[in-house]
Amino acid sequence: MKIGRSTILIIFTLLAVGAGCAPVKPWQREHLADPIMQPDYRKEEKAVREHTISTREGSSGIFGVSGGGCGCN
Amino acid sequence: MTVLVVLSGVAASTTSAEDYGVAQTYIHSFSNNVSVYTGVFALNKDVSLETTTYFRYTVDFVNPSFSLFGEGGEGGEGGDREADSAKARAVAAVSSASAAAGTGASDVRNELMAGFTHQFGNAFGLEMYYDYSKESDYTSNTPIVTLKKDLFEKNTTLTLSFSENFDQVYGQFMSATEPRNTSNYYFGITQLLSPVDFFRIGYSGSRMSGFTSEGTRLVPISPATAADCTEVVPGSCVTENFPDFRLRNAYLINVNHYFEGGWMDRSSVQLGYRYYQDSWSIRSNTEEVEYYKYLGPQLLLGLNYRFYNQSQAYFVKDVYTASDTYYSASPQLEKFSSQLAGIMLSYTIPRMFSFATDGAIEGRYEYYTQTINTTGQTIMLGLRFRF
Repeated sequence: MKIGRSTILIIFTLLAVGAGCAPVKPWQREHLADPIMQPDYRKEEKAVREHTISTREGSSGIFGVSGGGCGCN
Repeated sequence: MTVLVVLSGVAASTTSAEDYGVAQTYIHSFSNNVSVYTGVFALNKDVSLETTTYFRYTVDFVNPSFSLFGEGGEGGEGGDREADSAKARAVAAVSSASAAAGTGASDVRNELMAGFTHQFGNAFGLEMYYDYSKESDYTSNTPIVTLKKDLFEKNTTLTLSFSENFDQVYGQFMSATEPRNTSNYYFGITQLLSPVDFFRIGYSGSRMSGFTSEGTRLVPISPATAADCTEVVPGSCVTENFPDFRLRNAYLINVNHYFEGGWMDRSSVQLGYRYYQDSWSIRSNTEEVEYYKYLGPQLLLGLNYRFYNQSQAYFVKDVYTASDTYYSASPQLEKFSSQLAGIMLSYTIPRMFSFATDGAIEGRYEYYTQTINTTGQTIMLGLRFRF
Protein backbone atom coordinates (compact mmCIF):
# COMPACT_ATOMS: atom_id res chain seq x y z
CA MET A 1 0.00 0.00 0.00
CA LYS A 2 1.52 3.31 -1.06
CA ILE A 3 0.87 6.36 1.05
CA GLY A 4 1.38 9.56 -0.87
CA ARG A 5 2.90 12.72 0.55
CA SER A 6 -0.47 14.45 0.37
CA THR A 7 -1.99 11.70 2.49
CA ILE A 8 0.75 12.04 5.09
CA LEU A 9 0.26 15.82 5.09
CA ILE A 10 -3.45 15.39 5.67
CA ILE A 11 -2.83 13.00 8.55
CA PHE A 12 -0.40 15.32 10.30
CA THR A 13 -2.69 18.28 9.73
CA LEU A 14 -5.51 16.41 11.38
CA LEU A 15 -3.29 15.45 14.28
CA ALA A 16 -2.26 19.08 14.67
CA VAL A 17 -5.89 20.12 14.57
CA GLY A 18 -6.65 17.50 17.14
CA ALA A 19 -3.95 18.79 19.42
CA GLY A 20 -5.30 22.30 19.05
CA CYS A 21 -8.92 21.37 19.75
CA ALA A 22 -10.18 22.14 23.21
CA PRO A 23 -9.53 18.86 24.96
CA VAL A 24 -12.44 16.96 26.37
CA LYS A 25 -11.69 16.10 29.97
CA PRO A 26 -12.46 12.63 31.31
CA TRP A 27 -15.28 13.94 33.49
CA GLN A 28 -16.90 15.47 30.41
CA ARG A 29 -17.18 12.16 28.53
CA GLU A 30 -20.35 10.84 30.07
CA HIS A 31 -22.34 11.15 26.85
CA LEU A 32 -19.46 10.00 24.66
CA ALA A 33 -19.34 6.81 26.69
CA ASP A 34 -23.04 6.15 26.22
CA PRO A 35 -23.50 2.91 24.24
CA ILE A 36 -25.60 4.73 21.64
CA MET A 37 -22.54 6.82 20.77
CA GLN A 38 -20.17 3.88 20.27
CA PRO A 39 -19.10 3.16 16.66
CA ASP A 40 -19.23 -0.55 17.42
CA TYR A 41 -22.58 -0.39 19.21
CA ARG A 42 -24.61 -3.40 18.20
CA LYS A 43 -21.66 -4.68 16.19
CA GLU A 44 -23.19 -8.14 15.96
CA GLU A 45 -26.12 -6.74 13.99
CA LYS A 46 -23.81 -4.67 11.84
CA ALA A 47 -21.68 -7.71 11.11
CA VAL A 48 -24.71 -9.73 10.01
CA ARG A 49 -25.99 -6.86 7.88
CA GLU A 50 -22.60 -6.24 6.26
CA HIS A 51 -22.17 -9.93 5.52
CA THR A 52 -25.61 -10.20 3.92
CA ILE A 53 -25.15 -7.03 1.90
CA SER A 54 -21.60 -7.82 0.81
CA THR A 55 -22.83 -10.94 -0.99
CA ARG A 56 -25.09 -8.72 -3.07
CA GLU A 57 -22.88 -5.69 -3.66
CA GLY A 58 -19.58 -5.38 -5.44
CA SER A 59 -17.69 -3.33 -2.88
CA SER A 60 -16.48 -4.44 0.47
CA GLY A 61 -16.95 -2.45 3.62
CA ILE A 62 -14.09 -1.52 5.84
CA PHE A 63 -11.78 -4.07 7.23
CA GLY A 64 -11.69 -7.68 7.33
CA VAL A 65 -13.07 -10.70 8.92
CA SER A 66 -13.88 -14.00 7.33
CA GLY A 67 -14.92 -14.73 3.83
CA GLY A 68 -17.63 -17.03 2.68
CA GLY A 69 -21.11 -16.35 1.48
CA CYS A 70 -24.42 -17.46 2.84
CA GLY A 71 -25.32 -19.73 -0.03
CA CYS A 72 -27.05 -16.72 -1.48
CA ASN A 73 -25.72 -17.07 -4.99
CA MET B 1 -16.67 -13.05 -0.53
CA THR B 2 -15.04 -10.97 2.12
CA VAL B 3 -17.04 -9.60 5.03
CA LEU B 4 -15.76 -6.42 6.61
CA VAL B 5 -16.40 -5.04 10.09
CA VAL B 6 -14.77 -2.15 11.83
CA LEU B 7 -13.27 -3.15 15.13
CA SER B 8 -12.50 0.13 16.81
CA GLY B 9 -13.92 1.82 19.85
CA VAL B 10 -14.39 5.50 20.43
CA ALA B 11 -11.43 7.61 21.44
CA ALA B 12 -9.77 6.49 24.60
CA SER B 13 -11.10 3.02 25.26
CA THR B 14 -9.91 -0.08 23.50
CA THR B 15 -12.22 -2.29 25.55
CA SER B 16 -15.96 -2.37 25.33
CA ALA B 17 -17.78 -0.05 27.69
CA GLU B 18 -19.79 -2.93 29.12
CA ASP B 19 -19.81 -6.65 29.63
CA TYR B 20 -22.62 -8.16 27.67
CA GLY B 21 -23.98 -11.18 25.89
CA VAL B 22 -26.40 -11.45 23.00
CA ALA B 23 -28.47 -14.21 21.46
CA GLN B 24 -30.18 -13.26 18.21
CA THR B 25 -32.20 -14.89 15.47
CA TYR B 26 -32.52 -13.39 12.00
CA ILE B 27 -34.78 -14.26 9.11
CA HIS B 28 -33.59 -12.88 5.77
CA SER B 29 -35.90 -13.31 2.81
CA PHE B 30 -35.06 -12.13 -0.69
CA SER B 31 -37.16 -11.84 -3.81
CA ASN B 32 -34.89 -14.20 -5.74
CA ASN B 33 -36.19 -17.14 -3.74
CA VAL B 34 -33.40 -17.14 -1.21
CA SER B 35 -34.05 -17.20 2.51
CA VAL B 36 -31.45 -17.38 5.24
CA TYR B 37 -32.03 -18.10 8.87
CA THR B 38 -29.22 -16.81 11.06
CA GLY B 39 -28.42 -17.42 14.68
CA VAL B 40 -25.86 -15.33 16.58
CA PHE B 41 -24.47 -15.79 20.06
CA ALA B 42 -21.84 -13.39 21.36
CA LEU B 43 -20.14 -12.71 24.66
CA ASN B 44 -18.01 -9.70 25.63
CA LYS B 45 -16.37 -9.89 29.04
CA ASP B 46 -13.66 -8.06 30.96
CA VAL B 47 -11.27 -10.50 32.58
CA SER B 48 -9.14 -7.78 34.14
CA LEU B 49 -8.86 -4.00 34.16
CA GLU B 50 -6.72 -4.18 31.04
CA THR B 51 -8.11 -7.18 29.18
CA THR B 52 -11.42 -7.95 27.53
CA THR B 53 -12.33 -11.15 25.74
CA TYR B 54 -14.86 -11.55 22.94
CA PHE B 55 -16.48 -14.59 21.43
CA ARG B 56 -19.10 -14.83 18.68
CA TYR B 57 -20.73 -17.81 17.00
CA THR B 58 -22.85 -17.37 13.88
CA VAL B 59 -24.76 -19.99 11.95
CA ASP B 60 -26.59 -19.45 8.64
CA PHE B 61 -29.18 -21.91 7.38
CA VAL B 62 -29.96 -21.36 3.72
CA ASN B 63 -33.41 -22.64 2.93
CA PRO B 64 -34.51 -21.75 -0.58
CA SER B 65 -37.78 -23.64 -0.30
CA PHE B 66 -39.26 -20.82 1.80
CA SER B 67 -39.77 -17.20 0.85
CA LEU B 68 -41.83 -14.35 2.23
CA PHE B 69 -42.50 -13.43 -1.40
CA GLY B 70 -44.41 -16.55 -2.32
CA GLU B 71 -43.61 -20.06 -3.42
CA GLY B 72 -40.04 -21.12 -3.08
CA GLY B 73 -38.29 -22.44 -6.12
CA GLU B 74 -35.29 -24.59 -6.63
CA GLY B 75 -33.28 -22.06 -4.76
CA GLY B 76 -30.63 -19.57 -5.70
CA GLU B 77 -31.60 -16.81 -8.07
CA GLY B 78 -34.51 -17.14 -10.40
CA GLY B 79 -37.98 -15.76 -10.17
CA ASP B 80 -38.57 -12.84 -12.45
CA ARG B 81 -35.46 -13.22 -14.56
CA GLU B 82 -37.27 -14.17 -17.75
CA ALA B 83 -36.61 -10.77 -19.28
CA ASP B 84 -32.91 -11.39 -18.75
CA SER B 85 -32.83 -14.73 -20.54
CA ALA B 86 -30.80 -13.24 -23.37
CA LYS B 87 -28.21 -11.99 -20.92
CA ALA B 88 -25.33 -13.83 -19.44
CA ARG B 89 -27.03 -14.42 -16.13
CA ALA B 90 -28.08 -18.02 -16.65
CA VAL B 91 -29.14 -18.23 -13.07
CA ALA B 92 -32.52 -19.88 -13.45
CA ALA B 93 -31.00 -22.71 -15.43
CA VAL B 94 -28.23 -23.08 -12.89
CA SER B 95 -30.69 -23.32 -10.05
CA SER B 96 -32.65 -26.05 -11.79
CA ALA B 97 -29.54 -27.96 -12.66
CA SER B 98 -28.13 -27.81 -9.19
CA ALA B 99 -31.41 -28.95 -7.71
CA ALA B 100 -31.71 -31.81 -10.19
CA ALA B 101 -28.17 -32.90 -9.40
CA GLY B 102 -29.11 -33.16 -5.76
CA THR B 103 -26.72 -30.47 -4.64
CA GLY B 104 -29.48 -27.91 -4.31
CA ALA B 105 -28.91 -24.41 -3.03
CA SER B 106 -29.37 -25.29 0.63
CA ASP B 107 -26.37 -24.81 2.81
CA VAL B 108 -25.22 -24.29 6.36
CA ARG B 109 -22.50 -21.83 7.25
CA ASN B 110 -20.79 -21.85 10.61
CA GLU B 111 -18.59 -19.02 11.82
CA LEU B 112 -16.54 -18.72 14.99
CA MET B 113 -14.80 -15.55 16.06
CA ALA B 114 -12.77 -15.17 19.22
CA GLY B 115 -10.20 -12.76 20.53
CA PHE B 116 -9.15 -10.27 23.12
CA THR B 117 -8.15 -6.66 23.65
CA HIS B 118 -5.43 -5.61 26.05
CA GLN B 119 -4.34 -2.18 27.15
CA PHE B 120 -0.64 -1.81 27.90
CA GLY B 121 -0.91 1.06 30.36
CA ASN B 122 -0.84 4.38 28.54
CA ALA B 123 1.42 3.04 25.80
CA PHE B 124 -0.97 1.37 23.36
CA GLY B 125 -3.81 -1.08 23.04
CA LEU B 126 -3.66 -4.41 21.26
CA GLU B 127 -6.54 -6.37 19.75
CA MET B 128 -6.16 -9.87 18.38
CA TYR B 129 -8.93 -11.95 16.87
CA TYR B 130 -9.30 -15.08 14.82
CA ASP B 131 -12.24 -15.80 12.60
CA TYR B 132 -13.11 -19.19 11.09
CA SER B 133 -15.97 -19.72 8.66
CA LYS B 134 -17.04 -22.84 6.81
CA GLU B 135 -19.83 -23.79 4.44
CA SER B 136 -20.16 -26.47 1.80
CA ASP B 137 -18.29 -24.54 -0.89
CA TYR B 138 -16.16 -22.09 1.05
CA THR B 139 -13.74 -22.13 3.96
CA SER B 140 -12.12 -19.06 5.44
CA ASN B 141 -9.48 -18.48 8.09
CA THR B 142 -8.74 -14.91 9.14
CA PRO B 143 -6.35 -13.65 11.82
CA ILE B 144 -6.78 -9.97 12.73
CA VAL B 145 -4.40 -7.68 14.61
CA THR B 146 -5.15 -4.10 15.66
CA LEU B 147 -3.00 -1.54 17.43
CA LYS B 148 -4.38 1.62 19.03
CA LYS B 149 -2.60 4.63 20.41
CA ASP B 150 -4.21 7.41 22.40
CA LEU B 151 -2.87 10.95 22.11
CA PHE B 152 -3.58 14.41 23.50
CA GLU B 153 -5.15 13.35 26.80
CA LYS B 154 -6.95 10.56 24.96
CA ASN B 155 -8.80 12.98 22.74
CA THR B 156 -7.25 11.39 19.67
CA THR B 157 -6.93 7.71 18.87
CA LEU B 158 -4.86 6.24 16.08
CA THR B 159 -5.88 2.81 14.85
CA LEU B 160 -3.83 0.51 12.66
CA SER B 161 -5.17 -2.89 11.66
CA PHE B 162 -4.14 -5.82 9.51
CA SER B 163 -5.92 -9.03 8.61
CA GLU B 164 -5.30 -11.85 6.18
CA ASN B 165 -8.03 -14.02 4.67
CA PHE B 166 -6.86 -17.54 3.86
CA ASP B 167 -9.81 -18.83 1.85
CA GLN B 168 -10.55 -22.05 -0.01
CA VAL B 169 -13.22 -22.01 -2.73
CA TYR B 170 -14.86 -25.16 -4.12
CA GLY B 171 -18.05 -24.19 -5.90
CA GLN B 172 -20.30 -26.75 -7.48
CA PHE B 173 -18.92 -26.17 -11.00
CA MET B 174 -15.29 -26.41 -9.97
CA SER B 175 -13.23 -29.52 -10.53
CA ALA B 176 -10.80 -28.75 -7.72
CA THR B 177 -10.43 -26.56 -4.63
CA GLU B 178 -8.83 -23.21 -5.36
CA PRO B 179 -7.17 -20.81 -2.90
CA ARG B 180 -7.94 -17.14 -2.46
CA ASN B 181 -5.85 -14.90 -0.24
CA THR B 182 -6.74 -11.36 0.75
CA SER B 183 -4.59 -8.93 2.70
CA ASN B 184 -6.50 -6.12 4.39
CA TYR B 185 -5.14 -2.92 5.89
CA TYR B 186 -6.86 -0.19 7.86
CA PHE B 187 -5.71 3.11 9.27
CA GLY B 188 -8.04 5.42 11.16
CA ILE B 189 -8.12 8.50 13.35
CA THR B 190 -10.83 9.10 15.92
CA GLN B 191 -11.03 12.63 17.31
CA LEU B 192 -13.16 14.02 20.11
CA LEU B 193 -14.52 17.42 19.22
CA SER B 194 -16.64 18.23 22.26
CA PRO B 195 -18.37 16.45 25.13
CA VAL B 196 -21.06 15.44 22.63
CA ASP B 197 -19.23 15.08 19.31
CA PHE B 198 -16.53 13.02 17.72
CA PHE B 199 -15.54 12.12 14.21
CA ARG B 200 -13.56 9.38 12.59
CA ILE B 201 -11.75 9.11 9.29
CA GLY B 202 -10.31 5.94 7.91
CA TYR B 203 -8.65 4.29 4.96
CA SER B 204 -8.90 0.63 4.11
CA GLY B 205 -6.87 -1.17 1.47
CA SER B 206 -7.22 -4.72 0.28
CA ARG B 207 -5.23 -6.96 -2.01
CA MET B 208 -6.94 -10.11 -3.24
CA SER B 209 -5.25 -12.81 -5.28
CA GLY B 210 -6.10 -16.30 -6.41
CA PHE B 211 -9.48 -17.65 -7.41
CA THR B 212 -11.68 -14.58 -7.19
CA SER B 213 -14.99 -15.93 -8.51
CA GLU B 214 -17.31 -18.34 -6.71
CA GLY B 215 -17.54 -21.38 -9.00
CA THR B 216 -21.32 -21.43 -8.62
CA ARG B 217 -22.53 -19.77 -11.83
CA LEU B 218 -22.46 -20.63 -15.52
CA VAL B 219 -22.14 -18.12 -18.36
CA PRO B 220 -23.45 -18.73 -21.90
CA ILE B 221 -21.11 -17.99 -24.78
CA SER B 222 -22.86 -16.54 -27.80
CA PRO B 223 -24.79 -17.90 -29.69
CA ALA B 224 -25.83 -19.96 -26.67
CA THR B 225 -28.34 -18.29 -24.35
CA ALA B 226 -29.04 -18.49 -20.66
CA ALA B 227 -31.82 -20.99 -21.24
CA ASP B 228 -29.32 -23.32 -22.93
CA CYS B 229 -26.82 -23.14 -20.09
CA THR B 230 -27.67 -26.00 -17.76
CA GLU B 231 -24.28 -27.64 -17.47
CA VAL B 232 -20.66 -26.98 -18.35
CA VAL B 233 -20.09 -27.30 -22.10
CA PRO B 234 -16.64 -26.06 -23.20
CA GLY B 235 -16.97 -23.13 -25.55
CA SER B 236 -20.73 -22.86 -25.03
CA CYS B 237 -21.52 -22.77 -21.35
CA VAL B 238 -18.61 -21.97 -19.07
CA THR B 239 -18.02 -21.20 -15.43
CA GLU B 240 -17.43 -17.62 -14.38
CA ASN B 241 -13.88 -16.39 -14.78
CA PHE B 242 -12.71 -13.22 -13.03
CA PRO B 243 -9.28 -11.59 -12.99
CA ASP B 244 -7.05 -13.35 -10.48
CA PHE B 245 -6.04 -10.12 -8.80
CA ARG B 246 -8.04 -7.30 -7.23
CA LEU B 247 -6.92 -4.16 -5.43
CA ARG B 248 -9.50 -2.32 -3.36
CA ASN B 249 -9.50 1.02 -1.55
CA ALA B 250 -12.13 2.52 0.71
CA TYR B 251 -12.23 5.86 2.49
CA LEU B 252 -14.68 6.67 5.22
CA ILE B 253 -15.72 9.47 7.49
CA ASN B 254 -18.10 9.21 10.41
CA VAL B 255 -19.53 11.85 12.69
CA ASN B 256 -21.38 11.05 15.93
CA HIS B 257 -23.39 13.57 17.89
CA TYR B 258 -25.27 13.31 21.18
CA PHE B 259 -28.33 15.49 21.72
CA GLU B 260 -29.09 17.12 25.05
CA GLY B 261 -32.29 18.88 25.91
CA GLY B 262 -35.45 19.42 23.93
CA TRP B 263 -37.43 16.67 22.29
CA MET B 264 -34.24 15.00 21.08
CA ASP B 265 -32.79 14.75 24.56
CA ARG B 266 -30.88 11.51 25.21
CA SER B 267 -30.54 10.60 21.57
CA SER B 268 -27.67 10.27 19.15
CA VAL B 269 -27.11 10.41 15.43
CA GLN B 270 -24.32 8.66 13.55
CA LEU B 271 -23.57 9.84 10.02
CA GLY B 272 -21.27 7.91 7.73
CA TYR B 273 -19.92 8.20 4.20
CA ARG B 274 -17.68 5.77 2.38
CA TYR B 275 -16.09 5.99 -1.04
CA TYR B 276 -14.82 2.80 -2.63
CA GLN B 277 -12.87 2.04 -5.75
CA ASP B 278 -11.06 -1.04 -7.03
CA SER B 279 -8.98 -2.37 -9.89
CA TRP B 280 -12.04 -3.92 -11.53
CA SER B 281 -13.31 -0.36 -12.15
CA ILE B 282 -16.06 -0.58 -9.57
CA ARG B 283 -16.73 2.74 -7.88
CA SER B 284 -19.25 3.06 -5.10
CA ASN B 285 -20.66 5.53 -2.63
CA THR B 286 -22.31 4.62 0.65
CA GLU B 287 -24.22 7.05 2.82
CA GLU B 288 -25.57 5.89 6.16
CA VAL B 289 -27.40 7.42 9.07
CA GLU B 290 -28.32 5.83 12.39
CA TYR B 291 -30.43 7.45 15.06
CA TYR B 292 -30.95 6.14 18.58
CA LYS B 293 -33.21 7.59 21.23
CA TYR B 294 -34.12 6.54 24.73
CA LEU B 295 -37.91 6.71 24.89
CA GLY B 296 -37.82 6.03 28.59
CA PRO B 297 -35.63 4.35 31.18
CA GLN B 298 -36.29 0.95 29.63
CA LEU B 299 -37.11 1.57 25.98
CA LEU B 300 -34.62 2.34 23.20
CA LEU B 301 -35.59 3.19 19.62
CA GLY B 302 -33.19 2.85 16.70
CA LEU B 303 -33.67 4.01 13.11
CA ASN B 304 -31.24 3.42 10.27
CA TYR B 305 -31.05 4.26 6.59
CA ARG B 306 -28.44 3.41 3.98
CA PHE B 307 -28.10 4.49 0.34
CA TYR B 308 -25.60 2.78 -1.94
CA ASN B 309 -24.68 3.06 -5.60
CA GLN B 310 -21.97 1.44 -7.66
CA SER B 311 -20.64 1.24 -11.19
CA GLN B 312 -20.06 -2.09 -12.88
CA ALA B 313 -16.89 -4.08 -13.29
CA TYR B 314 -15.12 -3.45 -16.56
CA PHE B 315 -15.50 -7.03 -17.79
CA VAL B 316 -19.27 -7.27 -17.21
CA LYS B 317 -21.26 -7.68 -20.43
CA ASP B 318 -24.76 -8.67 -21.45
CA VAL B 319 -23.45 -11.16 -24.01
CA TYR B 320 -20.09 -12.94 -24.05
CA THR B 321 -18.24 -14.36 -27.02
CA ALA B 322 -15.40 -16.82 -27.36
CA SER B 323 -12.93 -13.96 -27.67
CA ASP B 324 -13.63 -12.70 -24.15
CA THR B 325 -11.22 -13.54 -21.37
CA TYR B 326 -13.40 -12.91 -18.34
CA TYR B 327 -16.99 -14.02 -17.84
CA SER B 328 -19.47 -12.91 -15.21
CA ALA B 329 -23.02 -13.83 -14.31
CA SER B 330 -22.85 -12.09 -10.93
CA PRO B 331 -25.44 -9.37 -10.34
CA GLN B 332 -23.27 -7.83 -7.62
CA LEU B 333 -20.73 -6.70 -10.23
CA GLU B 334 -23.29 -4.78 -12.28
CA LYS B 335 -24.23 -1.11 -12.09
CA PHE B 336 -27.03 -0.51 -9.58
CA SER B 337 -28.10 1.35 -6.50
CA SER B 338 -29.71 0.12 -3.32
CA GLN B 339 -31.49 1.39 -0.26
CA LEU B 340 -31.92 -0.06 3.18
CA ALA B 341 -34.15 1.20 5.97
CA GLY B 342 -34.71 -0.26 9.38
CA ILE B 343 -36.22 0.17 12.80
CA MET B 344 -35.15 -1.34 16.11
CA LEU B 345 -36.75 -1.47 19.55
CA SER B 346 -35.08 -2.66 22.72
CA TYR B 347 -36.89 -3.11 26.03
CA THR B 348 -34.80 -3.51 29.15
CA ILE B 349 -35.97 -5.67 32.00
CA PRO B 350 -34.05 -5.24 35.27
CA ARG B 351 -32.74 -8.51 36.72
CA MET B 352 -34.18 -10.42 33.81
CA PHE B 353 -31.67 -13.16 34.47
CA SER B 354 -30.18 -14.09 37.80
CA PHE B 355 -26.66 -13.93 36.39
CA ALA B 356 -27.09 -10.53 34.74
CA THR B 357 -27.51 -6.95 35.88
CA ASP B 358 -30.32 -6.56 33.42
CA GLY B 359 -31.58 -7.97 30.19
CA ALA B 360 -33.26 -6.62 27.10
CA ILE B 361 -35.67 -8.00 24.55
CA GLU B 362 -34.87 -6.63 21.11
CA GLY B 363 -36.43 -6.62 17.70
CA ARG B 364 -35.37 -5.19 14.38
CA TYR B 365 -36.91 -4.96 10.91
CA GLU B 366 -35.06 -3.93 7.79
CA TYR B 367 -36.13 -3.57 4.17
CA TYR B 368 -33.59 -3.72 1.38
CA THR B 369 -34.09 -2.97 -2.29
CA GLN B 370 -31.85 -2.88 -5.34
CA THR B 371 -32.53 -1.30 -8.72
CA ILE B 372 -31.67 -4.65 -10.38
CA ASN B 373 -34.94 -6.16 -9.21
CA THR B 374 -33.92 -7.63 -5.90
CA THR B 375 -35.61 -6.81 -2.63
CA GLY B 376 -35.19 -8.31 0.80
CA GLN B 377 -36.54 -8.19 4.29
CA THR B 378 -34.86 -8.99 7.57
CA ILE B 379 -36.46 -9.64 10.91
CA MET B 380 -34.35 -9.99 14.05
CA LEU B 381 -35.44 -11.06 17.50
CA GLY B 382 -32.97 -11.28 20.30
CA LEU B 383 -31.98 -11.10 23.91
CA ARG B 384 -29.21 -8.90 25.28
CA PHE B 385 -27.97 -9.15 28.82
CA ARG B 386 -25.46 -7.05 30.74
CA PHE B 387 -23.42 -8.17 33.67
